[in-house]
Amino acid sequence: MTRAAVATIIARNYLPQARVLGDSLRRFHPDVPLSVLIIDDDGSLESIGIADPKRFRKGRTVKQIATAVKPRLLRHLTQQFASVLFIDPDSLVVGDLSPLFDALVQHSILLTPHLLAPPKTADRIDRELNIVQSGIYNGGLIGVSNNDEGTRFLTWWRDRAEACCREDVAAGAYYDQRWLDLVPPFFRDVFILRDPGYDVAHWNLPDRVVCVDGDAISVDGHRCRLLHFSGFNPSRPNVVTRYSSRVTRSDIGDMALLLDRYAALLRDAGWRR
Amino acid sequence: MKLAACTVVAKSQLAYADVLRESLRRFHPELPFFAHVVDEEIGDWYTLQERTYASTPSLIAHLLDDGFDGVAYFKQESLVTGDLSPELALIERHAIVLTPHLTTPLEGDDRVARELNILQSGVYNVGFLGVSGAAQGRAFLEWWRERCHRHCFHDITRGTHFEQRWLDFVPAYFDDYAIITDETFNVGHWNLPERDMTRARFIRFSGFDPDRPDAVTRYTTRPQAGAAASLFRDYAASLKRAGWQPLPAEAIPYEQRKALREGRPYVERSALHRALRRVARRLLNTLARR
Repeated sequence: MTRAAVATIIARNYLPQARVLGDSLRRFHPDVPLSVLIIDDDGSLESIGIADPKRFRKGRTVKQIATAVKPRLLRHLTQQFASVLFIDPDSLVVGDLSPLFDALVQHSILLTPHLLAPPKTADRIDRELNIVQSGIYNGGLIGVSNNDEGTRFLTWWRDRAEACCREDVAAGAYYDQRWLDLVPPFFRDVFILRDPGYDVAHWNLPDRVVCVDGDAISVDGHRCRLLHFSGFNPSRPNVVTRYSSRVTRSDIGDMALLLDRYAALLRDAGWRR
Repeated sequence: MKLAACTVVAKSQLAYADVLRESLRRFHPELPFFAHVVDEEIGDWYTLQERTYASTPSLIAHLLDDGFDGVAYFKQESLVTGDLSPELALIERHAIVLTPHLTTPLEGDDRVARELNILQSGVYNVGFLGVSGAAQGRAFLEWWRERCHRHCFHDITRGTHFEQRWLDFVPAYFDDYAIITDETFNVGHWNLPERDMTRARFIRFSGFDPDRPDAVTRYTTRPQAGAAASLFRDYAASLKRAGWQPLPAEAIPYEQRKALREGRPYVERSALHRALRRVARRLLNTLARR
């Protein structure tokens, strides 16, 4: 069985993002295929076993569809690959991801906390409350192995995400992501990714210090491997993320350069305003 | 390694601490037991219950300062019914020891609703918590104490469920922790009927009313005592023998306190209006509380 695959989920308007992610992955892992599920394409949904795509989409928002379908996609892929890593489409691979694939050889599930350490800014408690409302672990970087425990996880996650994949903080719901809070007690051999070089995103900035020297990018002194441009819109390059006005370009040091680079990559990949 | 056991209790609720202490002494006479008693003075920011919960990190840190190597914290409405050596041993090996509400996915038609309920109140139950004097244990207590200072109340929409919800951060911030998965440890209404209370070594009587020993908890009518009915009756009897009294009513209306915390003016409401709001709040608590 081929060892590893990466998966992502998009609607058609995010094809440029998927292209950029795919190109960046190929640079470091030419042998690891990228599987792209396109939620507004019936054939794409049918290929992972959704017999009635229109019914699946009915009554759900785009984000709800994109997140409800994730466990099913991962299970479809773990039937072909020993380990599967899901990466959000607005991400950029900038370093070797082998440590993640290696972790999935010995572990069933790989989870990525949004924050690896308490934030230090004056608004730290509000930021933590924000994380608590939406989930401790990021649904945009998660890995699963094809062993029994990984399969047990995906079976459970699919059942819960398809039953409740909405945003309703008061009810304890936040798409597929909030369910992941239950993973550490429910499943064995869980690997919690605690390297700051992965999943650098607006919620862990400016705490993570990004330094850019040409192609060499470091985060808190660690090799940077994966950037997550969640909520970034190239047509508004001075806005770090549309999800929060907390962090601005001037707050994030060299990360601002990387926003510009990412915007250029998206335009080259066909993104248009 | 020198361990201590402890609990926090309001002065009027000392009976809980007495019953807990006696149960612990049966199985672990070697473990010194400390009860931090919170006085019934009128506070603005927190209710008496919240203030009790918020003092937990400080109590644990205080015992570590006093020379103990590790602390086993037990919530007041608990009963030790078996040997806890495995869990105490975990405190000797890890900075933080957590006990989750659930250790395995639920089955049944209400599995989604029940698991959502757990997500609302916190993946880990603060009915038991182990913390050692190791670096991460101290760092955890300091971090938790700062959050409990002003954010130890019940507001699911904001992301708070007293002191307990903050524990969800532990596997993210720390790597020196353990999660207890033994099914005979930490049996409470939320994991009934999946757990067998008659085989339990540590039981939580969260929301139990000694005046109504036939009801497992006032928070939900879902679970039945079943074969463990005598455990509930005996616990009620123990509490009454220890001088149990119902919790006194809060001096400051809940709405006034909420307004203060949110920085908005408080408007006195009619008795009917207040009663309706109380009913609504009780319903909300019943649905969300653990």
